[in-house]
Formats: sequence, C-alpha cells, structure tokens
Amino acid sequence: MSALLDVQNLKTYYFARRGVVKAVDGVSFSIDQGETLGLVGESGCGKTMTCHSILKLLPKPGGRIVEGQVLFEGEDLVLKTERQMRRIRGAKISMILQDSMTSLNPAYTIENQVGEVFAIHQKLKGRALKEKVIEALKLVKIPAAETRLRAFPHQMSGGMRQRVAGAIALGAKPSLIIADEPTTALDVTIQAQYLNLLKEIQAETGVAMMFVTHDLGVVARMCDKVAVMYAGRIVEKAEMKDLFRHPRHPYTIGLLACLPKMDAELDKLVSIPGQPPDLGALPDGCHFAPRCPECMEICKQKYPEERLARDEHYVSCWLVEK
Amino acid sequence: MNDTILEVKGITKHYPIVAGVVRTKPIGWVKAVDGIEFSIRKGETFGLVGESGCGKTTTTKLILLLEEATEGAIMFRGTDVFSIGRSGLREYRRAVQAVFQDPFSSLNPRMKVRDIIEEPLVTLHGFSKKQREERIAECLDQVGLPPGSGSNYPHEFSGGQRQRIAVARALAPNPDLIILDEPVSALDVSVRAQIMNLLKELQDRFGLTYLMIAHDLAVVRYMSTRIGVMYLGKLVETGRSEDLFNDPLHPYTEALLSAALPTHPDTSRNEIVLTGEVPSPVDPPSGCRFHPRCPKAMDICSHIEPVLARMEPDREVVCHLW
Repeated sequence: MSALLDVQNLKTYYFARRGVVKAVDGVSFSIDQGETLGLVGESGCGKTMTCHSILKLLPKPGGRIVEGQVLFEGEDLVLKTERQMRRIRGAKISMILQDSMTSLNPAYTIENQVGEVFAIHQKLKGRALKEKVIEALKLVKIPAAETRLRAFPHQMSGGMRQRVAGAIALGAKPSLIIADEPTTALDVTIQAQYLNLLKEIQAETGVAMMFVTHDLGVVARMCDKVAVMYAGRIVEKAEMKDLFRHPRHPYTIGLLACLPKMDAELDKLVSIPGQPPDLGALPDGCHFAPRCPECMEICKQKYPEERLARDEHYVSCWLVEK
Repeated sequence: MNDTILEVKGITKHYPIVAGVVRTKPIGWVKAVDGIEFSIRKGETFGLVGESGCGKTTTTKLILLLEEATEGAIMFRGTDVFSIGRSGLREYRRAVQAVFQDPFSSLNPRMKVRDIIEEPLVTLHGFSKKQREERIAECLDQVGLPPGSGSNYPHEFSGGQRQRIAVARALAPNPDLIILDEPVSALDVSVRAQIMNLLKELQDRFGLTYLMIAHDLAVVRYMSTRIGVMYLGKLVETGRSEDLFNDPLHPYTEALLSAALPTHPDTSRNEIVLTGEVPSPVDPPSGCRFHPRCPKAMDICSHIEPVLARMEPDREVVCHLW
C-alpha cells in the first residue's frame, strides 16, 4: 500500500534581507492511512514550516519550497496551483492550531465558522448546513451543541474552543489532520480530555494525524511513529516505542534524559549544553555537533546521511555504522 | 517553628467586578485566592501547582506586595509584612526576589544587562559604585554568563541565557527567598534542564529558599521539597514531594497526577480523566469546590465545605474523605 502522505527531501527556505534561512532542509517522512506521526522538536527547528509547506501556506514574500515533493494520495502538492490547493485545504487535509483564542475569529459565531467548511466544500445551505454543523459539534462532544451555535468564541472556555477548532478541522471528513501543538495552551486535565477525544475520533473515522509537538509525553500517548527534528532536518525517525526504548541519535538521547520524571526522585538532571543554533547561520557539518557529547572530527566537516540503524529506524549520525 | 521563613495566614484576594461608568459599584467578586495557609522553611523549595486560574500567580503577587490582600496576613521571619513600616519594607523587598516566566518580557529591552542587574542594588542604597560593579561581575559568573555580557542588551541573548540574566538580577541583592513563577515553561525543552540545575546549584551554594509556581508536575517534582496543590483559590493538599506523588490523598491531586503524561510509553499508570472544566471563581460551587468534577463525590460534598485535616506531620488535606 502506498502512503497517504509521502514527503520527500522537502526544502523550504526563507529568503530574508539578511540571508537565507534554511527552515526546512531536506526532510523526508511518510504517513499511512489512519496512522499518527509525531514530529518532535524545539521551537525554531522548522516543525511549523514543515506543516505549512505541506499545505503551501508559506509566509509571503520570502518563504519558498525550493526542492522536494509532497505526495498526497499520489499527487504532488508542490506542483498544484493555489486554486487546486484551496480544494484540498479543509476538505482533505486540515489543520488544528495551537491557540484557539487566535485561530478562531472573535467576530463570528461558532455556527458561522464551523459552517464555512461545508458551505465552501460541499456547497450546503440553510437547514442542511445547520444540521451538518450540529453533527460536527457533536462529533467533538460539545455538550448541548444546538444551544452553542450562536455563541462567540470568547463565551467558551479554552478547552471548548479547541473542540470547536477540532470540529472545523474534522467537519469535512479529511483524510489527514495536521495538529500543530494542539494542547500546548490547555491545562493538564483538559489536555487529557482533548487527547482522549482525538483518539476516539481517530478510531471512529480512521483519519491520519500528524502531531507536531515539543512534548514527549504527548508523543508517547498519541503516536505510532516519531520523527525528531533538529535545526531544519530530521535526525531520527522510528516506531514510537522503538524510539523511546532505543534512541540512537545523541540529540534524542539527550532530550529523553533531560526531562524530569514523575515517578522517580532525581538528584541532578542530565542537560544538553548550549542552545539550538540560528537557522540563518548553521554550523558546517552536523548541526548538533557543537552541543554533542560524542562529537568526532568528521561531524564538524560533513552532515551525516540518513542511515538505517535497524528495522524502520533511521538515524542521521556518524556514530551509526553504515 | 523558628526555621520558618515565610508564613501565609488565611490570605484572601477578591477582585471586584464593577458595573457603571461614573458611579461604579461592585456587582460581584472574583475570589482569586480564598483563604490559603502555608509556611515555607528555610532552605526548602515549596512548589505550588494547579491549573490556570486557580490563583497561583495571585498568591505570588500578594507575597511580593504587588497586590493588596483583602484579608489575611503574611509573616516574614515572624513579623507581619503588612505593617512593618518603611525600613522594614525595604529590607523585605531586598530579601524577597522574583524570577518570572517569560524572560522576553520581564527584562527591559532598553537596558543593558549590567544595568538590569544593578538596578536592585541602586534602590537598596549602601553600595558604592565599585561594590556594585563587583557584585554584577559576581552574579554574572554565578549564573554562568560570560563576564563581558554586561554591556550587551537582552535581545542579544537566547531564551535560556535571558532567564539566566533574570536569575542574576534576583541574586544581586543577596535574597533569602526567591519566588519562581513558571521559571522554565517558556524555555526550549533542551534548555530547561540547564536552568533547573542552575537553580538547584545556587540553592545549595547560598542556602536559598524558593517558592516555585509551575503547572508541569514533573518539573515541580524535580525541584520541590514540599508541594501545595491549589484548586479554585483554595489549597486542597500539601505534603512532602515524594509523599504527595506516591500517595495523593485528595481526589483532585490524584486526577492531576494521572493527567500528566509519562514521558515514556512503557510507564504504566491508571488514568482518571476528569469531566468538565474548572468552574468560574466568581460563583464557585457550594460545599467542596471540586465536587462537580470529583469522581468520589458524596452527598455531603455539595453542601458542606470540608475542613483541613492534618494527616501526618507535614501532610494536610481538605476533603471529606479524610
């Protein structure tokens, strides 16, 4: 079976006055139907640019896909026109953003905003449209959905607003949802509710998800596969459990070790020295080399190619034998 | 006890909700903090956890005297800080310092790092120019910043380094108690461990006492000696860090702990997902404030407010179950 989404060697650069920012620099991954991929990385590592590249929502002017393919259901999205993309966004691939306070329009009612998807993609009107909106709100388990239609975003709590954002994303039954830090703005107890809801909906509808996050706890809870991103590149990708049990890249190892644990008393955390590099001025060789505890001579000269470490476990590191 | 450095006694903060334009009158009260009590001992880290809107930040504002309390008292080394007079207040303001969440907004972008660290020393008097220079150099060194960084501006530093500057500023007047309001949540994951380790090191070296606010339970667990759990303006449970994590007594604490996602997929946990959301502090539920969401709610919970039960030394819980 061919993958639902297959991103190959995607390069998205941002051409700014002070130089070229290589926000996404040769990223490849794939997502199968009904599968959840976690894209993990710190702020500024190119996660969000990767999502925006898939939907071609790049900042203009300046942002440009310079190389690579984004194959969705066998077709290359990079070659699509803006008009063609509009039929895909919201209908086949949709997005849930981090902060529903800003992603929802404060001046429109919930009915209006959720209904937009159906009005545009399914050309629905009147009663049929209203029924669809209620159905979408029920899908995300908003209590008393009928009474919420005329509400404005500010009248709802953060958790409920994020559910509305979910209703908009799921309404038109897309085959892929890109969720960019969907629970970061929520409280822990509300986050648990929301993640459970997404899991249930996924089981019901079979939608594939790409989960962008910096929280490894969310990844462990939600994902089948994980790709770890650092400074515009994927440094390691594997099955979720395999990655947590046998991390290979020093960055992944460091990331797992530097988290405080809930269930263990620790005296001192292992920390990764330094800070993430500036994407406009990347070091030669491996981008992680300046912070890497196992840096070798070759690491400073050449970026390591992606190697297969074991089944379905790819690592870009010189430590891994070819 | 004489090793108690700060004691919060039944402190309450109600904000008025006003109506009218010229003749404003309160039509209701937001009960942000509603009679909480705890004490902090010298050299320990007291962690305050809870969801957003539960009154954690208001509590710190009250302790920092940035807000006036509606009721209650704060005792610092045995004296009431609400009535200690000008010189006492000056001493209190030296002894209690703060580090805030977002180092991008807590440092004045127009001041050089040197001036930022110097400011608390200038307001304190009693330091000559030369002594101040020495103290600045000392503080920069203690937080691990290069000696020359005093002449730079905050924007020239990364998030982690900026938080180091904020820590240096708090250290400058040689405080006894530092209030840490979400000190790492705005930082990148790989940098968090560095700052947490730095804070712990400084605590050991200078015998500092911390009051730490955080919503990330793993962070609180790593940093704190004792923990207080807040819900809707009330403290529901306090206890030693390991006791509270191993054996939570209050159902809210239990749910909060189970909602926090383990950072490893092999960690087993029993899951309690709370229904509903945090009610509004304007009109909190009758009886126990947690009863509408509590999985163990009984009849009594909805009309009688539970009183504090002292379980063991250092362990207090406010719940009808105990």
